Amino acid sequence: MTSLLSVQQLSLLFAGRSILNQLNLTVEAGHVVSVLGSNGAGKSTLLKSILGLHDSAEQTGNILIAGIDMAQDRQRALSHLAYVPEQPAVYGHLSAIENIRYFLSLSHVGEQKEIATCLTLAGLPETAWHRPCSEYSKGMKQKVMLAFALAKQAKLLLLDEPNSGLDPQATEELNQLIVQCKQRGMGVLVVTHDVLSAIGFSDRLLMLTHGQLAPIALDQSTFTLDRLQRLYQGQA
Amino acid sequence: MTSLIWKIACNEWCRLWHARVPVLLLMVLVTLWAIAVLAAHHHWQDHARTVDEVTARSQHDWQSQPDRHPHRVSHYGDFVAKPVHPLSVIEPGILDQSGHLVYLEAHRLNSANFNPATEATTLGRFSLMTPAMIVQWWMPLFLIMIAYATVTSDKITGILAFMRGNGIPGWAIAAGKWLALFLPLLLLLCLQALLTLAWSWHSEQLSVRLSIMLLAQSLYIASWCMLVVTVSWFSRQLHGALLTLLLVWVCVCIIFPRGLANLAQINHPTQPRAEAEYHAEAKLKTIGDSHNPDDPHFLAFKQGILNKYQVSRIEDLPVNYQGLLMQEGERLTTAVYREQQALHDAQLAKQNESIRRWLWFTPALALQYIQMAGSGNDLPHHQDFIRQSEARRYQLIQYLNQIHTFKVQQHDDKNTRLSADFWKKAPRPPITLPSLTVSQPSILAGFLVLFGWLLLPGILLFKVSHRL
Amino acid sequence: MKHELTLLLKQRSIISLLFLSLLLTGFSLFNGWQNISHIHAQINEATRAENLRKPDFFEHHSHEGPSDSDKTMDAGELGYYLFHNIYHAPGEWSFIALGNRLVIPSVQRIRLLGLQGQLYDGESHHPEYVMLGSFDYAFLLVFFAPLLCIALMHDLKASEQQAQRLLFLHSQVKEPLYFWGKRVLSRWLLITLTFALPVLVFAGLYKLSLAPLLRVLAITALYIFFWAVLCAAVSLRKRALNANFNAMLLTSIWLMLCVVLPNLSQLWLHYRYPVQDGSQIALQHRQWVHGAWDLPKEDTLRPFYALYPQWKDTPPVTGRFHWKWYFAFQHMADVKLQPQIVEREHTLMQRDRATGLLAWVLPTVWVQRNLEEIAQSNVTHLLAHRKRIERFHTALRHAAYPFLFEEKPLTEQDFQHLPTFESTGSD
Repeated sequence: MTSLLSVQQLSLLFAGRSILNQLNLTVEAGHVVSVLGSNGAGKSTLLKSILGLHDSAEQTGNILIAGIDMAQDRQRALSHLAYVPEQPAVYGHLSAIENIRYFLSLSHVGEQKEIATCLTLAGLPETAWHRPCSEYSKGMKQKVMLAFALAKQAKLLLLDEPNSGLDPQATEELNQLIVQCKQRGMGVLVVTHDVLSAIGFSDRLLMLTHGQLAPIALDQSTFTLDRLQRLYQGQA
Repeated sequence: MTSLIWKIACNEWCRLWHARVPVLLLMVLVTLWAIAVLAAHHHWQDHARTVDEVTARSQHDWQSQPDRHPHRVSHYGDFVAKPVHPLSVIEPGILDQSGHLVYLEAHRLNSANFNPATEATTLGRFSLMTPAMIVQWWMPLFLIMIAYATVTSDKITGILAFMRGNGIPGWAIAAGKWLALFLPLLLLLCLQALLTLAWSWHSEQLSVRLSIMLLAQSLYIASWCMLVVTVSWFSRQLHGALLTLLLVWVCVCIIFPRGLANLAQINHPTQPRAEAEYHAEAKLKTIGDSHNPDDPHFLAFKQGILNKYQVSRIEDLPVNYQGLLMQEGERLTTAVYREQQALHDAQLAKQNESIRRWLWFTPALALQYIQMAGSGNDLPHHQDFIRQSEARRYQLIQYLNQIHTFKVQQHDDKNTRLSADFWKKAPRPPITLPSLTVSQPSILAGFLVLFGWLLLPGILLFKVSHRL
Repeated sequence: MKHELTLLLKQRSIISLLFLSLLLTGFSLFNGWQNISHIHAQINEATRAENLRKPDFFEHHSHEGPSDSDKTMDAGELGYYLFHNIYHAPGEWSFIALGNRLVIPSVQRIRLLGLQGQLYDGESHHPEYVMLGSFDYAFLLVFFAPLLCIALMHDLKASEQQAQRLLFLHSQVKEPLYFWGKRVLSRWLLITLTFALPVLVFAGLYKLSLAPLLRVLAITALYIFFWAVLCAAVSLRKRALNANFNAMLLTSIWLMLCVVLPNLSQLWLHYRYPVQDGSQIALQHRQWVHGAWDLPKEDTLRPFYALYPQWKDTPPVTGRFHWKWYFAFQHMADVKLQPQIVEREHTLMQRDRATGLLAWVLPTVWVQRNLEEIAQSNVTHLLAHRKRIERFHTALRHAAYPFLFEEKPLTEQDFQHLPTFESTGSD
């Protein structure tokens, strides 16, 4: 099985400070990997690195997306990836369909898949499709972003704090969506604080401390708050 | 309560000071103002020099006339220049466009002729930078850039809610913010007025003119400060506040004044000078032609003269009939030309009326009217200048015709030369600066609009300051 | 591109701004057109009136001959009493930039007397209107188009950042330069269209000629492109994430380019090339003309005959007054002033040339100048117009001199053959 994301020996210095240190990470197709970490541990930096958006910082190591080296062909690498930011990046004055159409045009991807199908898959009620997104709740906006990822036929999905600011029901719906993506053979990388959800949908849990990722063996039965607290303090 | 407002204002100053950019902007504004003063002073000097030169030269030319026939003198004519008040250095108004020199001549109505605007290059089409323009355009613009965030940022950071929650009334916050913006600018305005006062000390009607300008400027800036605070209070985002204010500024200061003047010109176009001259000539022909021996008007006139002196032939008159004829002719042409001038003035008045009707849209233009009136460079002042010079012309020409009538022997009319002393003693009253009352309508309209613009944002602000 | 345009056009605020711009452009063109057609109407009216007046004039000032058809007229009276209309006819595209047409009289009346005393009359417009300036296409383009650019483009990056979309967009686009370029170009296209469309409609409606239209469109597109690039440079800087700072920076640049620098340039220009006021010429002219009355007639006639030897041997002036002598000293005043006039014209041309050089540095001045060039409302056109008047005046003098100096009266036929302003042609 090929790994959709493979980060090898990634180190990153920012203003003389080491943020990431010889970090390794792989995400296989049909797997969900969650990255936990305290504020400032470098989670967003890691995401930016994967998106190839660090230009001023000193970065070493390799990032391969679907086997394509980011450093060599960023454009082709990115075409296999869909990124969903913490704040859903939809244009408020456009409808869900128009947003997706626009974003697809940016990636130079034609409408490979019926947008309506994707929206249905993402679970956005049909009545909302043509209304401007400014009227949507955050959960609905997230669904638009996921529908876009489906429409783009991305192999790798990057989710940044997908559950922040969602009510329990929306969180549950989103979690199911992530599982669906995984079942469709996509690789999913989730950066999150929501440990409970992460335990639910993840195949692997990783903790980012001191610029490195450490695996956590956790299942719901052995999980305690105390354990989690110590994890966050870097005493895994 | 006043101490509360004062504290809020002080706090605002503190913040503006620490933000650096506002201080920088204020410095740029002062630099611009200095450039404007330089430009305006140069401009004023140009005009003042021209006026002095023309006045001195025409005086010299007039006084050094040799012995002449009086009718020659009345065709030699006299130049008068429009006096330029030192306050023109703040607002040159229509100085460049109206012309500042009139040639006074027998049976001709010449209005002001020479204006530098005609020969200006492309650069002349960019609006002039004057201290008045700085107050009218740039001060509001810089005010917007300095203070668009004044309430909005408090709103975003939650400070406003915090203050309101702790019992500080909204209107006190509004008043404090307004005061913080207005006071420094008022200080600048007062400084400008003081400097002007010192510079143009001893000039005519200085105090009343300067104070009316200062009052209008203060009202105008006060209303802009009010507007900025109001819009800032209304907006939820910094960006929205900035863009709204900039849009208002563009409309009020740039689009509307030009638009209004152009609409007035379209709706009430003025008659061209050539056409007016032609009409006047046609009209004169219908009244009477002194060259035509059979003209009924002049036949009657001649009969009247003969009856008055109780003689039967012109040759027997004790006075010069040609001179009398000149007087009568001058009376007639002057009446027609003045009628023509009144017609032209009426056309301009119509345009003015149409502009005033829409003046509510733009306090910038209202302020400009007052400043132009204050510096003596608006239309009523110009028309007064034309009237005065026309009165001087009529007086002078009729004096010469009188001399023609009584001092020139009829039988040897064409060969007579009279002593130059007669011209030296001729009545040539100097042109004086009229009192401000000539521009009363535009000053009143201007102040009304300025008060309105102070009131409107004031009410809005009071209403909105109850909100969070 | 299509997607960028739809993205823009779905925003109500953008639509209303563009609509406002469209409206203002329409108004500016309409206003310019209205002004120009007013000038045309004046010229037509004056032409009509002159055609009516001329036969009338002959009737009125002619003397009885042996028969009714032999009426004749004195050349001196003709020169003194007959006014000739001068037209400053607008060009086809003059409505685009009214320039100095507001102050130059479109109809002027000239007699055979000294020209310099008659040349400098201004038009009797509402001076406050002239001061505020005309609301023409050139004004709107120079002043308003940059503001529109600033409004639409100062927050290219910052608005996306504020909506937390920037990272996402960067993860989507393959070539950031291409992506932002498309955004800038789509805005540029829309702004250019709001200016170009009304012009095109106008040109189509009135069937205006193509070459100036293309020039106007090119100037418009280029100027807006300049501002688009400037805005893009400011708003796409690496750390251009503060939209308000960008807006203030761009507005300051606008202020510099549209007001401060042109003003300083003009100040420098007036300092570098001082020009004598037109009034001085008029004063001097009066002095020459009236001084001649008191001089011996020989003093006037000798230099005049040196210029025009062909009239030297005509009957001498003996009486106290003769029209010959009168018109000779009128002309000699012009001749004596000639060096001053030439010098003045030279300085004005120098000013104009300096402005031309400045225009290469200041895009605002460049646009204004080029549009005035197309509209023929620049100071060079004024000088050309004065040259035309001078030529016409000369033609008139030359036509009248044979009658004047050989002291033969004009017949009605001679009168009708006098040159009119159009017949001298334009350049």
